[in-house]
Amino acid sequence: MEFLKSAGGLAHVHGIAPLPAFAILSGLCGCVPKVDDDLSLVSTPRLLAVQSTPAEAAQGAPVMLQALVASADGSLTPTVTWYGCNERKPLTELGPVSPVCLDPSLDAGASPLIGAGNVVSWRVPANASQLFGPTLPPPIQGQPSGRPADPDPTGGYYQPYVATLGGKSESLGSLRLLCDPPGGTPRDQLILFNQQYVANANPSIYSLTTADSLSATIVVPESLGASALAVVPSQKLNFRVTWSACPRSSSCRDGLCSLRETPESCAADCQSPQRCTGAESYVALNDDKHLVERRESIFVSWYATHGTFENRRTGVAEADPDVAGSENTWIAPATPAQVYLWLVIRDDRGGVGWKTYQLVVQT
Amino acid sequence: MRLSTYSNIIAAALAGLLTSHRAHGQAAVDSARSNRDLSSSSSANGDASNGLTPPKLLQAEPTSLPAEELSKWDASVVVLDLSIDADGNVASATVVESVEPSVDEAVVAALLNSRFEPARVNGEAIGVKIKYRYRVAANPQHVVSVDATFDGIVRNRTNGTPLANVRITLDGEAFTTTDGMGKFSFVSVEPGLHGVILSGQSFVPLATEEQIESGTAHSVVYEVEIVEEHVPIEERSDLEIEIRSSKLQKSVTVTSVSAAQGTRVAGTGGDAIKVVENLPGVARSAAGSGQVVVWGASAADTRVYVDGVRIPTLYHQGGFRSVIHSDLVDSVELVPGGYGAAYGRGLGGLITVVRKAPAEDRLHGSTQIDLLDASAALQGPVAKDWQASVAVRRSHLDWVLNRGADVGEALRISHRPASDLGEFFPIPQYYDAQGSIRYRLREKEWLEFGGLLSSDSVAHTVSSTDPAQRKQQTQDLYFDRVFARYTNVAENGAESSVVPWYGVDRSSLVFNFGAVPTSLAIHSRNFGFRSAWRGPISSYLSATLGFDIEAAQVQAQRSGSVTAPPREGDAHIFGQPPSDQINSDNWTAFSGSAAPYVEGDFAFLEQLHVIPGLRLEPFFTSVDRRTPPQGDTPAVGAYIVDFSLQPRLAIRYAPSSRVTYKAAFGRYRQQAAPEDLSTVFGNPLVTSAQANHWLAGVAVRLGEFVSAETTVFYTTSEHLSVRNPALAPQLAQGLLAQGEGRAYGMQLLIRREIAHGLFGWVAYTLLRSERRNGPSDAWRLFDFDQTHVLTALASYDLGKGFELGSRFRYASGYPRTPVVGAYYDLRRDLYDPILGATNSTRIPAFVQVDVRLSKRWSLAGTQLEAYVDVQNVSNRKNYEEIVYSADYSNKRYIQGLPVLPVVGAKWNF
Repeated sequence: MEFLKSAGGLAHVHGIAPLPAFAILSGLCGCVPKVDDDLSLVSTPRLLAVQSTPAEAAQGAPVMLQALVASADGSLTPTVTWYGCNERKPLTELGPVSPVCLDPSLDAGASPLIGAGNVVSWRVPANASQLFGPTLPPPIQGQPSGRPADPDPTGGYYQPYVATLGGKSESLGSLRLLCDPPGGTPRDQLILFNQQYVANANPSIYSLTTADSLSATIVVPESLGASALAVVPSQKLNFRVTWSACPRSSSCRDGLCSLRETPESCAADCQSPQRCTGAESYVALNDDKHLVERRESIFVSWYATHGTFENRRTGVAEADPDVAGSENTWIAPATPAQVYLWLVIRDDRGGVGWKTYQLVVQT
Repeated sequence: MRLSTYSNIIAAALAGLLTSHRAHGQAAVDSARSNRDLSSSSSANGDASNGLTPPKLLQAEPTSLPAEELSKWDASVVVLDLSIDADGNVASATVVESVEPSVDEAVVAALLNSRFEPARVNGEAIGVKIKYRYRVAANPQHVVSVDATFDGIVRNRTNGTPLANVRITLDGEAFTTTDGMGKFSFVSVEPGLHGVILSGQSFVPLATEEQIESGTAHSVVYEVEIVEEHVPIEERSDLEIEIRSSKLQKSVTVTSVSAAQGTRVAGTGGDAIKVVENLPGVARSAAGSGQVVVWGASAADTRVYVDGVRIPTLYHQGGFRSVIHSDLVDSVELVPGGYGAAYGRGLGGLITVVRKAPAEDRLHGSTQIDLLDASAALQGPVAKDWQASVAVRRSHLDWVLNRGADVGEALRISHRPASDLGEFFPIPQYYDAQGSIRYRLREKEWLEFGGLLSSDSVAHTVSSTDPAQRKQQTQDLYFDRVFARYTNVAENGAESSVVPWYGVDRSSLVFNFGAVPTSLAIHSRNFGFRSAWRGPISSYLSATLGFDIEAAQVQAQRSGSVTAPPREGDAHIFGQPPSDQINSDNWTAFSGSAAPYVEGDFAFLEQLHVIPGLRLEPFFTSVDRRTPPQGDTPAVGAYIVDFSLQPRLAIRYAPSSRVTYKAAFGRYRQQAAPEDLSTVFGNPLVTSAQANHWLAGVAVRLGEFVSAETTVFYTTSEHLSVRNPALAPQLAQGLLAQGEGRAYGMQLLIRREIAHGLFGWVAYTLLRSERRNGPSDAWRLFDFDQTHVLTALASYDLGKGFELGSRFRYASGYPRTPVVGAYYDLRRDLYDPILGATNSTRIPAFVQVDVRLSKRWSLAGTQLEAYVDVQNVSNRKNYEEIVYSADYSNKRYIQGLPVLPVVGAKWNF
């Protein structure tokens, strides 16, 4: 379901597009066709995720980009080519990036080459905050400064880049920019924000478990391990993935540099900060430009070379109960196979982590 | 010095041959035959059936009264018996009712020198004696009106059969009866408002009024509901009269459908106003949207008025029902373009709903129920000179579906808990109510107070284990109006009206797509005031003068992406997740306009009408801030005045009674929508848009009941609010008023009026509507462009209370933007489409047949009607929208309604 465009732009009655009518129709007749592909199934080489280290960086700072490329046989052969993006998207573009950046052959100036390989180093453009952040963009031809970019629901701004796999399919990456709050933020809130905001850390998967026929928990070994989990054809496995449970209250000397802890207030935790790799707490500005405490949402994308997942993605939203795990069901293929599983964990501040698992389907 | 006549007619007898006529000129004659004698003739106006032609004044002689005497006795009436010989001379004049001897004497002298066209029997001139009423007029300039003719046909409303021997009484005195073809006519009728009473063997007398304009041929069709033979006359209570007058229209292209006919059209579900979607020039709206797209203009550009009170929408959510109960509707009228100076503020068409005056004879009412809703209406006299009407309606589709789910669960057909239905079906919930009370201050003068309200609510939630796929949407729309209306009709036909109104509009939309919120809430207080005077200026000119004010105080809140919801022209795919770059804004605005207008109707030789008009409209807009909030910096507001002159011109030329040529031009302005005035999402300084309409056409009467009308049109629009294309638009300039539009095409309407139980029409529109976001951009198709729209419908009275109707519709599919590729968004873990040229492909064409069958029963003086309205009777799979797979590699179509029978019943009493 979505908004239907009204004939008069946004407005029909007070700007309300008459969307639900169509939704009513599709709902009543139950005639919305099922067209979803099984995006969990990896049958051709695919770029599944890119992790930036650090997960949040200031303009001009160096970062490392690492790609997770999956293929049906578990190999990581295709090469990733990386391009930057130096052009904002106009308001007429409803997608997340300027179309110019999606085709590097169109304008090398707008899409400078970063490098090639599954891991590359990159320096965030020095004007990233002006182009994609809250800083007013440079004036053009004597005009007043333009409109700054809008943040995402977590208050973040992102420097886009493009990764192509084998010179064919493009993927759009986004690096979260560590920058000031938007203009117009009251000074007291600005000070508080700068004191309390802690840059994002990439999340990581703690464990993947399932249960055997006796309901005993089995830890699925990572593919790097010596042994693969054996299952029988068409077996139904209930997986549970977990991540770190982050503290919701600050406690100095707990080893984590948490919300409202600073190097000054808790040097032990924040001098060389260790960050929680689960759903972190962070501060952000609400619509009224006042600081509020938030909790990250965590999403887990499930991929496999064989078999079928019940859900392509699961997770825990900020509004959900604060649990550090999520479940999914996988049905093994009907025939013996070597199966690779990839679990990609994302937080809603742009952090990414993943792990690879291996199963053997055998009679 | 001149005298004029008084319009009322008194009866006189003359040798068994009685005439009814009124002549006009410097003086005029009123006469009539006695009721007793008239009742035996088929026509009192020279109808060939009895060979009688009444005398007609050719030359009136002014009186010799001095000016001071005329002033003293102004408007006094002298009643005389006149003997008019076979040569047309006044042989004798005898005062019957005196004013003053000197006046009587002057009047007699003047009349004896006047000359008439003699009365004739079968073409032979004869002498006659008539009663004559002479009104003294002090100022001869007051004598400006020219007599009109008034004729028509009376038919059986149910089957269209002409009704003979129906007595038509004019102003309670002169009357005639219909001939075998149901026809009647009055000649030389003085302009003004006339009371008309219809009486016949098979129905109780029915009263109505006709506003007859100077120098016009006023033709009407009365459709009378005949009661069953066995119903005693004293129980014949549910009698209705439908009047379809061919009075002169100031708009060149206008299609009007009576409520009685609209309710019988298949596919409308018995809702008279829903007939609008079947009229020429109207695009087929997307299934369930209820949008009225006229001549390629935005739905938001077409204004909707209910007796001069603007309302924000014509239909409830989903378009299944209108917001006005059909029992209170007299007719609905669509002017797709080129309308006159009385209306403005819209670039598109004009829809006016004319409410039915409350019944004066007794209490009438109805109740109705079907799958969607239930309603009731009541109207009638409440005290002497007071009449009232009230109607209410409430949807119960949610209740029906929940009970259906209960049954399904009980029968083990479905395991879906009823309480969860909202997760699967966004069920519309709505209600509306209307009421008014009318007081007759004096003859032809009314004061009315009324109000109406409408509410819609739709909620839909999609649960998912994937937080990014959880969707929740609620949409609420509410508006109310209270109004007063004063109407006065002068004796010369001039009509004055004053309509002040006030109302509140509230709308809210919340749409959460995963963690991306979108919300828009607008609360506005609306004020309106319309006053108008329309009347004759001279024998060839009538004019309309008016003042039209509207203003709205708006408070708005919006949050979400600038690009969500999409605007017209956005390259966008159904189902595409909104951008997660979000912002928010609160703003207030006060905007409106006060427009004096004037319109003249120059009538030349009764064949040519030239109707120029001018609307002088200064728009004003005040916003509380002109730039986005900046911390604690005080807001600086803005005030904009936008002055416009809007000329209008309509020309109608009728070289014969069968053919009318017409052409029109108009310039129109429309203020920016309040939601576009946000400093974050729009532009608080965006100016009003304007449009020009050109149209020409011809209407031809093809036969007794069939007419055809075709119109070619061309419209342009400019200064439309569109997204700022700059890479870094300046603050508060998210929108720019630089969009342009154009639409051109033709429409054809072939219509059969109800006769012998059959009515219907074929409406076809050929259209191309294009837009561009700036003068240097290429034209593209408008989002709601439909090349071909064909609607053919008919309804036939099968007899014994059965009626069968059907509707066929064909419409080109709406334009859509094709997907030429996709890329993967690594951060959001979703695919985004790569789009081709905007609106360069289309949804497949729509074809549907609907059928309606109804049966009426008379029950103790009341009437019960049961009906089944089957939509898409052939169960054709119509495509309504394109949906794509998550990676945009596959596409399918959402199908429209399958065969859907809606069963209902209505009880009238």
